[in-house]
Amino acid sequence: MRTIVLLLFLANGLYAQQYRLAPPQIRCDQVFFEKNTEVRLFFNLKGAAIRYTLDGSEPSEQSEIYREPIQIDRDVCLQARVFHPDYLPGESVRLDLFRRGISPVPPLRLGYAPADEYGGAAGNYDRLIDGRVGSDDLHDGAWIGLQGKPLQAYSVWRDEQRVQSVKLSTLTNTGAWIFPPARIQVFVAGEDALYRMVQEMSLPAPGDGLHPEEGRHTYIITFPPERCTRIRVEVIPWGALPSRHPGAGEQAWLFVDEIAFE
Amino acid sequence: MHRRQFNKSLFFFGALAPLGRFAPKSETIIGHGDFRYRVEANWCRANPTAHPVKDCHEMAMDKRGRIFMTTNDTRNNILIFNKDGEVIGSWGTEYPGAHGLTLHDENGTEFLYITDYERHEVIKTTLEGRVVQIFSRPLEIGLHQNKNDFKPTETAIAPNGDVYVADGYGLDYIFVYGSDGKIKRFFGGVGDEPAALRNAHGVALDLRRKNRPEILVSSRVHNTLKRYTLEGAYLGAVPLPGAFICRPVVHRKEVYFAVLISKLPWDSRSGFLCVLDRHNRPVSAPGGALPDQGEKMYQTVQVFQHPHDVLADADDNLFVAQWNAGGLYPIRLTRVP
Repeated sequence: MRTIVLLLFLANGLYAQQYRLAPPQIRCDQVFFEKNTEVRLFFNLKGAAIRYTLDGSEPSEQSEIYREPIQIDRDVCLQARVFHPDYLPGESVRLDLFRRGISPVPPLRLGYAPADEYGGAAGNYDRLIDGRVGSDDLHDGAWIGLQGKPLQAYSVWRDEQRVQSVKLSTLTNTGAWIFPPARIQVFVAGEDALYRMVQEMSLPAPGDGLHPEEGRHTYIITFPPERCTRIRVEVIPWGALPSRHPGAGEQAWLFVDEIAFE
Repeated sequence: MHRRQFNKSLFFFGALAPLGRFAPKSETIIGHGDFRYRVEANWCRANPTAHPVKDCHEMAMDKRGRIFMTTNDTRNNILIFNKDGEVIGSWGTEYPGAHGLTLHDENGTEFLYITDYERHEVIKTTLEGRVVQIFSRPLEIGLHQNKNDFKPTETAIAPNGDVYVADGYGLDYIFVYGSDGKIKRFFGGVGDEPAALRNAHGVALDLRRKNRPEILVSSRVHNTLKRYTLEGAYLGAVPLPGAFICRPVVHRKEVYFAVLISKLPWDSRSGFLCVLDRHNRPVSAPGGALPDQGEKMYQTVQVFQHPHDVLADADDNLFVAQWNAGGLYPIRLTRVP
């Protein structure tokens, strides 16, 4: 037995270099969707299988195998991961998909103009309500970026709506000076346009805040149902970059790619 | 086929293994078509105490088959390996930004061109490290306000001895010096127009087409290889979406690249290699996926951390140097039929 174990270790010494797989590629046009949406996964490696879950759990070798585009018609947390007999499973990718109940009527108005290169030059901010989310490429046409200014988004409906939540998707990329919001406030009004705040979400400042979790995050702000024709969402930026950041003292950027109402 | 049999013969041991991660594993083969390779991760036998490295930047092979490599560790900026991965020499303590390394045979004598982005110059040396010539910031053309505007990353030497310097961390021009060190002309420059560059990280002389020599430049942030005449006239682009390509390496009828990353941020460890055929079409992506239906290229197997340069030997085996890889020495990829 001892010899076998020894042999095992020797064999492993020679052949045990096990490489990890990369995460699968994920594509979805409408991450915030009207009635339903479709998610496409792919990974071009012979012998690889993509497995996924829709309940937020880490995909295992028992999870469903991806064979064709996944149809989604409700809020889900999709996670996908690649498996292959010759390699260690890689990291999973995660995509939260949301149904948006009430369609805002374009054009969406902003109280403060974004930076020219991040939506300001376009002068049209409907990218915030088109269902598309942004990628790593800040110039992909999905992001609205502001430095040191709040995002103040107004949506106006012709008919009275019953609203009970706002979903807001933002980016954290501290290396690029993009920090999460400090606070999110929701105001509603009727025809008189006298806005009153119905909910506020304060986001905890994680320590010195140099490395909040990186990537895209969706915040959900819920409140008792309100009848209104106007809504204003104020996203208060982080403020000055923390002391340990290379840009300490300068104003952080705020990046938002989608706002949805329900 | 051989590989499968080997797997089966070891299955018995595998079943006895108490932990999954000790499961026997056959060799790792990466790449596509005619350009597939067995990964030899432990090829290099260097001792980190004797020959420390930080980033391993670029490599070149001399007539005798010795591999020269630049690292920004000033205890030994140049390491010399034999084909068995043993360190057989080292020199250089004054190259804090030792980056590009090009070897040029000048009438039978070989010289090295080291680009040092920290020193803001290109240093021509003998293979033993004796400095022969220095190419510095071309002040006479009036482009540079301060020294950080000139951070060369790579060189290529034309048949007439002209030295093409890629200013990849500076203003993204290609500066052409005569062999006497005098600036002759420049082209490229930072921008998004067809002939402009972003992060002009590498430059190479392409003699694959008879009587039509070209200068190839990697525009890394554009994920594109750009082609110019020797005079600097723009010829065209080879888009490689998703691939942040380091320098182009022309070997036989192909062009090889280390792809540093395939997604941002810069330390995403999402790199792989890429091989273009004689028509500049991607034919293999060791560690990654070939472009498919307009999708970007991406990593499939994490064999590499941040591959920064690739060197091909006479048998078409590859050596890969890596940036920001925790002091990892180069690895070897042995071409498999």
